[in-house]
Amino acid sequence: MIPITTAAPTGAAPSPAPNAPGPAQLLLRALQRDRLAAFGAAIILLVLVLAVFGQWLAPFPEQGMGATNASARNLAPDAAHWLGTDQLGRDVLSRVIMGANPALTISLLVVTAAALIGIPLGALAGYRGGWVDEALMRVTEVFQAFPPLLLAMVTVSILGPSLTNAGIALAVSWWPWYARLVRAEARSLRERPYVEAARAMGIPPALIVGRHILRNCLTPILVQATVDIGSVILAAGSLAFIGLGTQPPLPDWGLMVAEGRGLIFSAWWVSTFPGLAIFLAVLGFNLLGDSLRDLLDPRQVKR
Amino acid sequence: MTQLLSIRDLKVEFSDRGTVTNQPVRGIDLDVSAGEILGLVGETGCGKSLTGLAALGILPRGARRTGQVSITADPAAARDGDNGSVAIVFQNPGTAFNPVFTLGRQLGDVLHRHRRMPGAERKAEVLHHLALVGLPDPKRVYGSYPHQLSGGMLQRAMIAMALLRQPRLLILDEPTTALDVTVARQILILVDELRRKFGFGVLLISHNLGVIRDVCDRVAVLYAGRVIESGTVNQVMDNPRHPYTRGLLDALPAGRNASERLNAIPGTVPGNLLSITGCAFRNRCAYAVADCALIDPVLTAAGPQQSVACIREGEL
Amino acid sequence: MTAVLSLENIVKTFHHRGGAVTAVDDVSLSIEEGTVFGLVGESGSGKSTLARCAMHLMRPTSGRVLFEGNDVGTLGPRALRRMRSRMGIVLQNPVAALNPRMSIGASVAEPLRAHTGLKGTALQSHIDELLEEVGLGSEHADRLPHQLSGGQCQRVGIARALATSPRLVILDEPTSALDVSVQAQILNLLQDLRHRKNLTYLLISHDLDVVRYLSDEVAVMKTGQIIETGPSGRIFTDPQQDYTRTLIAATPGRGLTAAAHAPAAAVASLSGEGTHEEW
Repeated sequence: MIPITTAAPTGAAPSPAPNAPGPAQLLLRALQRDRLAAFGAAIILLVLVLAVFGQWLAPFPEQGMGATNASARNLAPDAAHWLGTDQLGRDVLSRVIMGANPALTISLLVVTAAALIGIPLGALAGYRGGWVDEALMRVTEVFQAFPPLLLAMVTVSILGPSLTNAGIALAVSWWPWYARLVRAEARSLRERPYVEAARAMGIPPALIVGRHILRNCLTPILVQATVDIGSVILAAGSLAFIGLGTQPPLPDWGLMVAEGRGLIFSAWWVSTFPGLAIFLAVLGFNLLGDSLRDLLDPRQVKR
Repeated sequence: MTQLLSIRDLKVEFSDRGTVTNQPVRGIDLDVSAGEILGLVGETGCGKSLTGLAALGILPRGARRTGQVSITADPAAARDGDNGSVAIVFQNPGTAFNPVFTLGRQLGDVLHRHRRMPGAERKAEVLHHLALVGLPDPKRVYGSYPHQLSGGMLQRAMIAMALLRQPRLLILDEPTTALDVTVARQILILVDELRRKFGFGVLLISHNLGVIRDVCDRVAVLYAGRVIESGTVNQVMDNPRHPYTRGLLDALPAGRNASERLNAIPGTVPGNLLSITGCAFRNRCAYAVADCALIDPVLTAAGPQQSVACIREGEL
Repeated sequence: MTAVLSLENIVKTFHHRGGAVTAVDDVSLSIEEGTVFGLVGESGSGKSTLARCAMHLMRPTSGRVLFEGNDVGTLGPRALRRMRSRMGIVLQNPVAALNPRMSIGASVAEPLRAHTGLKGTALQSHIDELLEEVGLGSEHADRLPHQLSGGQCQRVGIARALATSPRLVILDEPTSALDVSVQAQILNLLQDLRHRKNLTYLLISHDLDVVRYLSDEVAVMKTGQIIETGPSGRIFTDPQQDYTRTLIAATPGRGLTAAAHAPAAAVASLSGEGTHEEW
């Protein structure tokens, strides 16, 4: 009846972005600006490369896996062995390189498992509230009451020492943090106007949680997960250090630090370089994790 | 009339690593005299809040101001290094106070920074000011935490806090936006009475034309970082000369019913003010002519109490 | 029966650790088809709570909500979902009412996906149509909320509310967060849409001018009760209750020396004659 003559504000500010940059471009742009994040990303890339191509990059791969060389014990770093050899004559560089794979694998698996368990439980508890929430909180509190490493130690002692069991133990200790993180986010997000609008429109709760709640708490989850990968590398290394993780002769940074303990003053390189590897890996994931929050902000898509 | 605040050609620009990205304030001239209330009105993006902050010298990071801002200090108030010039009251009283300290403590701290006095005297002075702003039970408010008080009471307390500094000029940035209408009205009445009593000047920043009409003596209408019309409130509100001012007043639903269409100004405020040539309003103006794209209009007198920035001013 | 929405003796009490608060205290009202019902009140009046009860986003402590003649409280899940498709809502903060990570098109599509079987190109063209109707070009469909202005976001909110061709649209402070000129655009749009589609509106606002402009029937709420109700023309020209008069007099633009008396806990009398008192 009455034609709409209200002026359509199209074309006026904010002017449409001709081609909104894709995520890859955004990431590159952001890394250019944030040096620390770029440094962290570089380290992670290095660890990734070593994890995938380790056995081809290592100069002495069989020693990496444990073959000994009695004639070359405790040699200081030289042209043949850049990082020296350990007490069984094995090339430290090769073992450090090949230690990247188990470290990265186990930490990715642990973080993924913890997230897969914790996120749905946390989302459910946070969105529904009530007794579901209370029940979940009590359960997580039981797990969180233990110092994380202690809980992992107990679990491994029951299951038997191995990298796999260390992984299971760590996943069991880690999931409550994701549950609580998501629960807190869900509780705050459920009050948002767009969630209320979705409820008013009759969107089923499962879709509301998936589409509106989880999608908007992805950022803190990813940030936490990135930093956690570093933390799990450290934790797995700690478990191996006390003999509850990877068993000799397999390469594992934590195990290598333990094996070189007695030689700290005579053959310092045996413990130091694997320790440095742990340090750098954790640093890399931490730096990237810190910067991810800004990188993942939807408002980065320029007007 | 003593002139308290004088702003000439104020510009504020934002830069990101050396490149200027925007210029939200593009040359503003303002004067506030003792005892008068000047209203600064405009919509989102016109630069009114930045102007208020620039007058105080507290711009956000990345912002740079040029131009002249002079605030006349009162020689009699020059004690302890403070010329007691300007105080500002912000929009949201609920978040302006620290939630973990009592109001008495917070007001006392402000007083302590500006005028040294022993504890008991300080408390008495704070209580006196709390009563001055119409709080019926100053002792109770003194001992209360922010969350225990209503929005209206907090706003009064903020005004009291501003008055403790004995300002010659009070800047109010959207003082009533977060309040209910009945409470807001009381605050405006209070401000009006206080300035009559103490003689300070007031710069009232608001997007609400009704508020401006109620309490201001003079008004400056901002658009895209410039003053496009100014004058006494009666003149500007009853006889607006700039097409934008007319458009704003016509767009108000007040006094109309559903059978009349509102005269919405088409289009939106330009986003980036750096690339504007000519008059910033011309794309939305029903009276625009070719020259409007070439000539940058300057605020010129259009009557005894009115100035307009429009090249077609005399004809419309 | 022409009443689209009917609220009968609605009471809503919230229980805290410290006690109970009755936000809505025995409110009844009825909205006829094709009319605009304005609910006015200040903060704490209970108007928002009442609106939430009307939409069945909260259950009233007692009382009935009748939508199109059906008692909403007794509807089964499928009937309830159907009811929701016949009711639209437009919220106060236009940008916050949209999922920041969902494109405009996806936000408008959401109710369509939930209630209709529309898919693919049919869905897309329906979305484009809705966007055109509210004055937005279809090129906006791929953009994110933060890339649009407040007014544009509110248009999206209106498009989304109208997506499933509802009978009743609840407008909760639809223009309070908008500038004057944008507010006028949105009010004009709401008027146009209302006439074109014969919509019924429940308008909740603290802005008397907006309510007066848009509404046919008005109810004034204070501390959980309706203290006055009637045709909007009458309420504003001949208010019967003191509170209504106070509200009208307090509307910005009417001057500070209006006849309405200031409430008791207001400005203490300021002593001091003369124009300039020394600090």
